[in-house]
Amino acid sequence: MALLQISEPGQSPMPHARRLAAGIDLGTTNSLIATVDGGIAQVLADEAGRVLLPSVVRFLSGGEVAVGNVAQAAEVADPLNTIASVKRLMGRGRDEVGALPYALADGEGMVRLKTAGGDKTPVEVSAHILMALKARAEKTLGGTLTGVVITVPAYFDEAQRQATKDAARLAGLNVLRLLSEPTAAAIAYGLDRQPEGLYCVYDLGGGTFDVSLLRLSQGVFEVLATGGDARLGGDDFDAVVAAELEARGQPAASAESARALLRAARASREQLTTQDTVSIDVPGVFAGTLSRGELNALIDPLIERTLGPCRRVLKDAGVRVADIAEVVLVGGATRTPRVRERVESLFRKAPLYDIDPDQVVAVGAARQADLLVGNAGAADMLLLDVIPLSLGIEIMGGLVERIIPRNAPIPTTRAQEFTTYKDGQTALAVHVVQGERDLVADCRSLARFTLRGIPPMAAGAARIRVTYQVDADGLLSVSARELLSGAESEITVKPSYGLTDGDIERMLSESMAHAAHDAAEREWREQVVEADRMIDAVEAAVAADGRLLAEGEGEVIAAQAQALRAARDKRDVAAIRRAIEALDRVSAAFAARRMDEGLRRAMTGHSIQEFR
Amino acid sequence: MADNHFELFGLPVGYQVDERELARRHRELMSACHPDRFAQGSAQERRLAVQKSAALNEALKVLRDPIARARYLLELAGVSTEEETDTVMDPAFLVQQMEWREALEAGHEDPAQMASLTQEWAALMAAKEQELAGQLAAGAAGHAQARRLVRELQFLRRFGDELDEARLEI
Repeated sequence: MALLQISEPGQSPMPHARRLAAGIDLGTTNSLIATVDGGIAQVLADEAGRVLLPSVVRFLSGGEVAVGNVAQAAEVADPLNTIASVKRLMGRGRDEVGALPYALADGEGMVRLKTAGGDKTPVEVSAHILMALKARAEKTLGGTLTGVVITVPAYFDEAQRQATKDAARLAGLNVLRLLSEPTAAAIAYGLDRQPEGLYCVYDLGGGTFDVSLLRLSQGVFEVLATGGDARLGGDDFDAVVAAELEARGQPAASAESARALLRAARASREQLTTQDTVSIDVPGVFAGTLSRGELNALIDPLIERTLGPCRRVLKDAGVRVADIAEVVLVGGATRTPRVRERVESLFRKAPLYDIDPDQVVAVGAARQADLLVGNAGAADMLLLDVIPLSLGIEIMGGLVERIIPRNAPIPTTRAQEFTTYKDGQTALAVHVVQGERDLVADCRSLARFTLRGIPPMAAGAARIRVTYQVDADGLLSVSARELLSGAESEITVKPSYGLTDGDIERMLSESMAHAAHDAAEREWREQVVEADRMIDAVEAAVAADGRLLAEGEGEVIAAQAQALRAARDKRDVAAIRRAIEALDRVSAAFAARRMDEGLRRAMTGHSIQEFR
Repeated sequence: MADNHFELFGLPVGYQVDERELARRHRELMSACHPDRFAQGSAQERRLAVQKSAALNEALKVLRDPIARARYLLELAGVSTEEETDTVMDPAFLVQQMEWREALEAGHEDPAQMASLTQEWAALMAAKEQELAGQLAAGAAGHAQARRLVRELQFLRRFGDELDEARLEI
C-alpha cells in the first residue's frame, strides 16, 4: 500500500484494495509467474499465450537485452552472448562451474560472463528474467506488485539464496519470502488441506534435484528434512544423451553445433516419454535412432544419484518408507517414464503427478505470496522450514567447527565466544563455510567476516560474543559484541561467491529498471516506504494493545511517530533514517511486550483447550 | 520472558517430556511469532519475530532430544557435563566402545553382523537412557551419575551415527 501511495501521490488508494502479489518460479530452463485471483491461482501468460518464459537472456552490444523466446531463438547463432541455465551459476565461483559454453571474465568471487553487453554476473542475468516476469504480471494485473515469493531449490546453499534475493532487488522486486520449491509444490497440490501426514516431494528440474520430507499437522507445514544435489537435473540427462550421440557419430565441431546437439538430445528425450524410438539428425554429428531402452540405460546412473539423497532424507527425519502418505513429483524431468518407475520402486507407492510439473511450483508460490500480503484473510497456514546444509566456521588446521547442523529449523541463532590471542588485538576474522565435511577445503566458503572495534586489552581478556543468525529465507547474518565493554563490533562481510552491498548499489544505479531515478531518489523512496511501514505498524500496535504501554510511553512514541511523519515529508534521507531509528528505539520495549503477549495468548488458548 | 526452555513452552521442568505435546505447543507458538506473520510489518517487528522464533527453535532442539534435555537440566542445576574439556571416562565403557568400533570396521559389509551390532547398541542406549531418567528423578543426589550417563550417551550416539552411515552404504 505504501508503495502505491508514493507512486501516485495525488490518489489515495482504496483502503481495502487487494494487494498485488505473485509467485515466481525462477527455473533453470524456464521461469513462470503466477498470481491468485478470486481465490484461484493462475499462471500468467505473455501476449502470445505462452506461460513458460525460457530462462535465456541475450546481451547485445549497445546495452540492449533480449529475454525468453526471442533470446532462445538466437541461442545457436549467438551462443556466447546468449546465456541459458544461469541458475546453475548463481553464487558460484569460476573454479566451481566446470566447462561452460561462454566466455568467462577473470577475477575472484562469483563467476562473470563476458558478453557483447559487458561482463555480467549470474545475478544480473537472473534480474533480467525477473524483470521480464514482473513486466508481464504488472501489465496483466494493471498495477504495481506489492511483493513476490520466489522459489529456490530446497538444497540451495546460502550464497545461492542470497544471489537470488540480490537478483530480485536488482529487478526492483520486494521479496516476501524465498520459498523452497518442494514446499511450494506441496502447497499447490493442496496438501495443506489434507489430513495429517508425511509427504515426500521429489523434484527433478532442469539443473537441480531436491527431495523434501514434509509433515502436515493442523495447518502447519513443517519441512522435516531436505536433501538433494544442486548440480543434477534434466540438463545432465541431455548431456549424457549428447555425449552418446557424439560417441556414435562425430564430436560437435563448433559452439553452434554443440548447441544444436544439446537441443536434439533434449527433444529426443522428451519424445521418448511417449514414443519407443526417435530418429535424430544433427548435421555433422549424428544421424540415426535412439530407443527408450537405450535412453534408460544412459540415464539410469543419474537417476541412481537421486535415490541416495532420498534415503538420507528418510534417515535424517527418522522415518521409514512405509510412513510416507504421498509422493509428489515436480520438475520437467519427472515426465521421463524411467524416473517415475524408479521413484515408485523406491517408495513402493505410485507417485502423484497430475498437476503440470512445470507449473506446480509457481502456483504454490503464488498462494503463499497471497497469504503473506494478507489477501487470504486470517492466515490459516504456516510454513516451517529447515536449513539444508550445515553451517560451520574455520578453526585451526583447516578444520570445520559446526555451528548450525543441517535440517535445523529456521529461523535459528547460535552464539559463540571468542577471545583475543595478542595484547591489544582489536580485530578478529571469522570464516563461515557451508557443507557436511570436516575439512574447510571440502566445504563451500560462504563469507569472511572481519570484526573491528574490539577494545584493546591483554591477550585472552576480551570476550567477544559472535552471533550467527539464519532467517526464514535461510540467509545468514553475523553480529558481534565484546562482553566486558559492551562494545558492538563493526563487521565487514566479504562474500566468497556473492556480491557486496557496494556491488549491488553500483548495479542498481546502472540498471535499466532504475534508469529513471538516480540512486538518491531510490534511496529516498526506500526510506519513505520503511517510514510508512514503521508509522503504520507502531500506530496499529498502540491502537490494538495500548494497555501494554508503560506510563508516559505512549506519549513518547506518539511524539516520535509525529517527528518521523514530519521527516518523511522532507526529502532528507539521513533525517528520515534517524527518525526511524529513534522511533524504533522508543518503541522497542513496547514491541517486545506485544510479541510476548502474543506468545502468552497462544499458550493460554492452549491451556483453555486442555481444561475443557 | 521465560526463564528457561521448559517455561517457554509452559511445560514442567523435568526429564519426562511428552514429545507430541511439545511439538504441538511449538507449532502454536510459532504461529504467533513466525516472521511470515509479519511479512507486511515494520523492520522492528520482523527483527523481533526472527529473534523469538529462533529462541523457540533453540528450545525445541534442546527439549526434544533426550541427551540435550538431560544436559540442559544439569546445566540448570549448575552441573556442567564438560564434554569438550574433560575426557576422563569409565575404562570399561571405553574398552567396550573400542571393541564395537573394531566390530564395525570388520563387519560393515556384512548385513547380519551389522544387524546384531545395531541391536546390541540399541539395547545399551535404551538401558542408559532409563538409568539416566532414574538418576535425574533423584534430584541433586543423582547428578554425578546423570553427568556420567549424559557423557556416555553422547559417545553412544556418535557410534549410532557411524552405524547409520555404514548401513546407508550397504
